Amino acid sequence: MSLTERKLRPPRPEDYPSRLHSERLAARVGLWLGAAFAICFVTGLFSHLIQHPPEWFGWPTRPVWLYRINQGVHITTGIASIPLLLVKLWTVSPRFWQWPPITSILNALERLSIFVLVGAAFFQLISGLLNVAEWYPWTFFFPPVHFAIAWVAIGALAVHIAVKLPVIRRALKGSADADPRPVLDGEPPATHSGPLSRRGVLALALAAAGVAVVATVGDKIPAFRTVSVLAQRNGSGPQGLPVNRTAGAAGVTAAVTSAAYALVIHGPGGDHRLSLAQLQAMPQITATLPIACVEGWSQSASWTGVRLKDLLALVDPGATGGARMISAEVGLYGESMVTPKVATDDLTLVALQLEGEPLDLDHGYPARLIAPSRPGALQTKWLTRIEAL
Amino acid sequence: MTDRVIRSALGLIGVVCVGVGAKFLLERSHQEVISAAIWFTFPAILSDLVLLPIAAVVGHVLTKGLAAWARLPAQVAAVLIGTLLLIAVPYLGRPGLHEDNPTLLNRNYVAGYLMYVAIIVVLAAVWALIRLTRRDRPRRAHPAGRPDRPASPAGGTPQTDR
Repeated sequence: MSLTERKLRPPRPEDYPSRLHSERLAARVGLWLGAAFAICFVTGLFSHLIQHPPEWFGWPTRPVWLYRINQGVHITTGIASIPLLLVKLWTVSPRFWQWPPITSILNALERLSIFVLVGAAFFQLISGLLNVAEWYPWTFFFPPVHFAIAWVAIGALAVHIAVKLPVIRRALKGSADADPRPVLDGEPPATHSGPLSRRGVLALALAAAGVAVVATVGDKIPAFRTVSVLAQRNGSGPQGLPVNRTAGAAGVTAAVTSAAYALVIHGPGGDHRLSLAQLQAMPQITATLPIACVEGWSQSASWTGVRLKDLLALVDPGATGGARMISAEVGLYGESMVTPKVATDDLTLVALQLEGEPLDLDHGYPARLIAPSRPGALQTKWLTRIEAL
Repeated sequence: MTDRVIRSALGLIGVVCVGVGAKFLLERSHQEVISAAIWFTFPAILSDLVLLPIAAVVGHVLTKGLAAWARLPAQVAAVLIGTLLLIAVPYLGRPGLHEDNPTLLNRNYVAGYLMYVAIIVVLAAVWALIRLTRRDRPRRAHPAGRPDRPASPAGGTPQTDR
């Protein structure tokens, strides 16, 4: 049948005789996609909890690259999900054209749950992809809304698995290439064969996910830099390290380059003012720690500076042992909280140097926080005040 | 019985999670909720009304317009190129560029994408040529052709029959 031989009308499920619209294929791609979404949800939840920690939550500071891995896995799994979602939707696409559109209340509920699942899935993958590219063609604030819809996506996925469990069991039992049961019950079997076999589609879905990962992962794994043509960054920057927010954008240049600059340590014992020279005169520690952005890019670097716990010791630690790090920058990234565990860690530094040179202005000159296994957004730059809590 | 328990538990957990997500979303301003609702609804519907039909038309052209030996490589190449294009969209025009920050979005994304397209096309062409020569060889031995590869191209991709 060609496109022109038919009267114009919306397609019907029976217009899709391809053996590729089969239950077994849908179940297998669905399994991979479900696993990818579960990984995205868990890693995303960790990232959220680290940035908004409730009392009961503790995130380890070792290994130092733990957050880097968490966020790299989150973004990479999301990218790999894009082709998997499209293949999965293509496989079950005849169902979209079910006629009549609704056959019963139960059918209406199931279709509604599928809409919620597909809507949330697209929302998460598109908003995540665009956030990495720092493109915001919407009016919502990305982090809390991406977090909210993540719950909708994982919930709708659980409902979908609950509804489909018997079908999933049946479909996963047999070989992908045998017993062509259509994705819509009661329709003629999908047997029409094209160039691609069902196994071929599975291989192609994995290949597309693999190519997508290779093309984007270079801002997380330097070995892939040359081939990752769609990476957010090429890894270059002042002192060999990329920058997320420049001093110019933060509006701090005048304040931090002033001769009157001082870092104030505030605690129960009063204020302690330290000039840059006084900070430099304190015992210096050098540590190799990664900057790992919530957007996924990460890079390791050698930092030199004063241990935060040595600074807090100047004013007696506060009641909790934690601290608030305050930047010359005013706004969302102008301060961050340090838990007692992080504050007392030997590798939590108020860094003055990067790769043996004074910090570049864009890296937080004259002093910035750098702590192990912590999101870049919380590695507060251009420190002017530290409050012991 | 166990299945019943598993399904009920999953369904219940699922509904609760959706409710938690809805609660978090509704804590945002009206303007944000409306914007989020738009980005929730339209991609889901447009994927069925626009994206899949485009894929079907491309598949149709690549199937009916090509010899049998070229179809599989062409379809595989089209899927890979299309996937990369969707991922490349936010990078090609670089709407997220910050003029003050040369360390962000600092690759030549158009050239990079076209390089991938070129590599995929070349590999697919080599694959197609290998298929062509392999197809020709047994034909000489069995003039009737192999039974799984009928002379008349009856095996078009059905997903394109819309």
